Amino acid sequence: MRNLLPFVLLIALVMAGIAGCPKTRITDIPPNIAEKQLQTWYAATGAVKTIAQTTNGLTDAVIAAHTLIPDDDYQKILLALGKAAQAGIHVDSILKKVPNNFGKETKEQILAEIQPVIVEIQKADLEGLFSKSQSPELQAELSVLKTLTEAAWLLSSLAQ
Amino acid sequence: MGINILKMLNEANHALVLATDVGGILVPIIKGAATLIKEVSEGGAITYTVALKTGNQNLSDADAAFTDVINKVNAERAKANLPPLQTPAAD
Repeated sequence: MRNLLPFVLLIALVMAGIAGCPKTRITDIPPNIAEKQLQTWYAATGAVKTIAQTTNGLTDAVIAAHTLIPDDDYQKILLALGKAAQAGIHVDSILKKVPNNFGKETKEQILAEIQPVIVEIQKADLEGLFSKSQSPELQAELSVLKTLTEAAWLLSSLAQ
Repeated sequence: MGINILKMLNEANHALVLATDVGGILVPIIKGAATLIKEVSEGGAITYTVALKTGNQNLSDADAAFTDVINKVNAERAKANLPPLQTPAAD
């Protein structure tokens, strides 16, 4: 537990950085729309796209490496990626409806979708699989996995 | 304070120093996070119309990629005689 403390503190620092970071400035906004909410929505769409592309890349990598992965783990990992994709489509639908109103209700909906995804990916232990693998191709996927995790954290932080 | 942290993380050398303090395993996490934050937060200024268009395009691209994932997963599940995952309707 002691070893985890610096990690938790560091994540908190990163999240503080995200919360306070300057976002893309958006001009010509209609007067009835809050710029901050629009900025958050815009950043969230970018995070969702990153999650989608990295999930797709990881799925390709896992399928290509099927012979290197025990059968039980193989289907478990694919199920986790499939569930992540399902949740991603739900988040997409939420974001499509609210470009001008990224309020509390929207944030709660997104958090409810994205947090189980983070848990699913952690449960599948892709990082353990990739790092222990003798296959350079699978080990190379570690960086893709990290990007996916970071994007999920980022989206989660935007919704807080 | 948040902006100062972001600036610090965006400088790779500082990120490495910070990560070294807490363990090498965190190095790629911090560097990667800083890159991602930079990508979504330093796009300069864009108009409202462009923001909507780009944001909606991001979501369409994401829909296509997520659907692709589900299709690939279902193809593998079919080989193992497992039921398919449902593809949610993209609004």
